[in-house]
Amino acid sequence: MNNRLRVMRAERRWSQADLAQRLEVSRQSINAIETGKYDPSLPLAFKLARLFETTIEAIFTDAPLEIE
Amino acid sequence: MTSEDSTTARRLSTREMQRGVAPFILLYFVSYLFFSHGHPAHNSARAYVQVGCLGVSMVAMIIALAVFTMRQRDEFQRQLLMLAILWGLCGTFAITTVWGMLESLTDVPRLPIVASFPIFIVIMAITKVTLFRRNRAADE
Repeated sequence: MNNRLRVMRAERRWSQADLAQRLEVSRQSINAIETGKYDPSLPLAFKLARLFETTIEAIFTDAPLEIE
Repeated sequence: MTSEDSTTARRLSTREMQRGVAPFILLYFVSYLFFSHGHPAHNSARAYVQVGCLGVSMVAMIIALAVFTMRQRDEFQRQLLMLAILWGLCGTFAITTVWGMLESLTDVPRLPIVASFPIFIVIMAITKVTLFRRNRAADE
């Protein structure tokens, strides 16, 4: 599963620690999600989508990501 | 621990770990004090109490681990912990099975059954440290 988390986080100028704080997870988890080592559960994906005010599909995709 | 590691999740995780391990530590010290000062004089009675305390401490440790796993809010860390537990279980089964076969076929010394729990804990601890090191947050 690919995701745009790193890009979306950078757009808001949040560090991994900031995002971890907002989601109440560890920075380790954010790093694992961003690098594709770990796919979050549906509740965490919804939490991410709500935080970024977007949909889950806008963050996660099973298609290869286009380089921006 | 760096300042970046002190997220809310990390603090919650540490608090839950402290709460979970507290019964084990308490039991350990109670049994330590018991054997240091007020242990029964009769050998068999002492052995019964010792085995009982050891059993209770082990059960307390398993309960502590279960409570910590259930209350762990960070799902990624919970997954790493579950993996470590699985490795611990599988490693214990593998070691005790192979050792049992060796006992049947060769003259190796008998592996006491009480060793299985420490084997599990050691394998789980090694795996946990390895997994957490492999998956630690890289620099941004």
